[in-house]
Amino acid sequence: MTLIVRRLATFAIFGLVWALAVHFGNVSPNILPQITDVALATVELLGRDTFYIAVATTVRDAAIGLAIASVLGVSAGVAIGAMPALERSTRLLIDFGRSFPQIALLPIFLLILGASSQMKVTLIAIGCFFPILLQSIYGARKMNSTLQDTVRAFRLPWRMRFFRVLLPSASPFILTGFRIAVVVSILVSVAVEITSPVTGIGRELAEARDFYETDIAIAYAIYAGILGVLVNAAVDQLERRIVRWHLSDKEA
Amino acid sequence: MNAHSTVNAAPPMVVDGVSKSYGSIEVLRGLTLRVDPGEILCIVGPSGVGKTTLLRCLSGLMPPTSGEVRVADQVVTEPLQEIGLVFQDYRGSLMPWMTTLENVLLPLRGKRMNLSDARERSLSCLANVGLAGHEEKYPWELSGGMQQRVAIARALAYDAHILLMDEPFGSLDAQTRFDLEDLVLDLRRRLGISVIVVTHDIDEAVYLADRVVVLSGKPATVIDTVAVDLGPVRDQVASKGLAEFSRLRGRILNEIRRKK
Repeated sequence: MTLIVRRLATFAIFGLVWALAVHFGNVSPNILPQITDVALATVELLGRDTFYIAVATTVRDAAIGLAIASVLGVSAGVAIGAMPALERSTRLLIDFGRSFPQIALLPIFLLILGASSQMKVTLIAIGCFFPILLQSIYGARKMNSTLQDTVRAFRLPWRMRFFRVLLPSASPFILTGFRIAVVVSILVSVAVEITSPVTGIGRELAEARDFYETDIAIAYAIYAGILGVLVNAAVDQLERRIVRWHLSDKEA
Repeated sequence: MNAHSTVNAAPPMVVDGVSKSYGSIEVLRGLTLRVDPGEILCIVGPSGVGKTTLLRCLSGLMPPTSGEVRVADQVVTEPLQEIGLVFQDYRGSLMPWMTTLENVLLPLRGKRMNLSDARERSLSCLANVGLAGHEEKYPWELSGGMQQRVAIARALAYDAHILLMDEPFGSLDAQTRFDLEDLVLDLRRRLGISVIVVTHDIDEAVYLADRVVVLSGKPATVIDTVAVDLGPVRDQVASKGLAEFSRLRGRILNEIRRKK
């Protein structure tokens, strides 16, 4: 059997278990609807304007938050990683920041910014900032000593050191951070939408649940999952393009 | 390819009573030597004697604890324009995200040379080290010997009149090492640059050098300076077969062994 057949087969088995469980388990459709109803709901959503608005809003806010976090996280991280003294001084604060459950800031930002897109974007940016920051610090710190000597020996100006040497040298690590942050951006976005009245996939999901339209709620969850898979695939492509040299250099 | 006209007279380099300690550990003590314009000077010594420390002091990457290094009349306190460094770890010293040409070009752009001049100069230096036609390749597409040639071209393009080489051929196979040794002799003849090579390989030192400085002891001191009168043109087989060659290598080997 080819791989694609086997992969589709696992989906089929999953669906079968679901269908049988609902059928013989006597589960209320309000709790777990039959898989066929969910399938119909996913199709039905495609005909609704609210669906497209919700997806577009979630994607837009996640992207803005991610972009803010990337700019701040990469510039701060690479600078910190390149200066050992600064890295040691900031380590405790950064460890605190990354271990902190950022969603706990939701009530505070809800109070300050209200239930708005800005509030959502702020939380997404905070959530995405730390994985990018940490990987950027790590990447800059890993720059090999010969390259550091080379950069000094040829007296490269700081701007060139940063953009032409330090940044590319750290980029494989930065991309790892970015990959984590992409998942976080969607996660935080949907979580904020579920728990506060701002537009997006999470909001639609929560409202469907409140009206006992469980099939619609699950359909939204499925689309959130598909979104995650698509975004991951896009990052894969990006990685292959940006750090081609890294993969080839490791092989050589 | 023509030798480019900008390199003609390398400035003399003087090392005046250089000592270096790391904390309470003294590594180098009172080293005094000079490198004449156009000379190849090899510094040999056993592993761990402090050769790399000395080279870092000479290049301005690290200040000596006492004494000073001068190029022409300038005291070296930081890396200088006149000095080009070539490291043993050629892989680590080239940027794998840049092509060969970009690697050579970058330091020139760093000095604000305009792009077309920098390109022309980089291409001519790559040709000088035998890499014409490889400009658009990435370092990881080249063999080790070719990567080290890129590093040499980069130092030449930077307009270094003094090449400082730290165990430059240590991680290459014998045949490639011979080719690169001959390249260094050839570049010196054509361009008039001075070359300082730090190595633990006594054969390599005698083959390349006009003079060999022997370091030994803890802390390291100069225990001998050996003039090598084999002329500017040398041959891997003929020169190494000369009685003078084996006399000199025997003398240096004995000195290093005795001191240990």
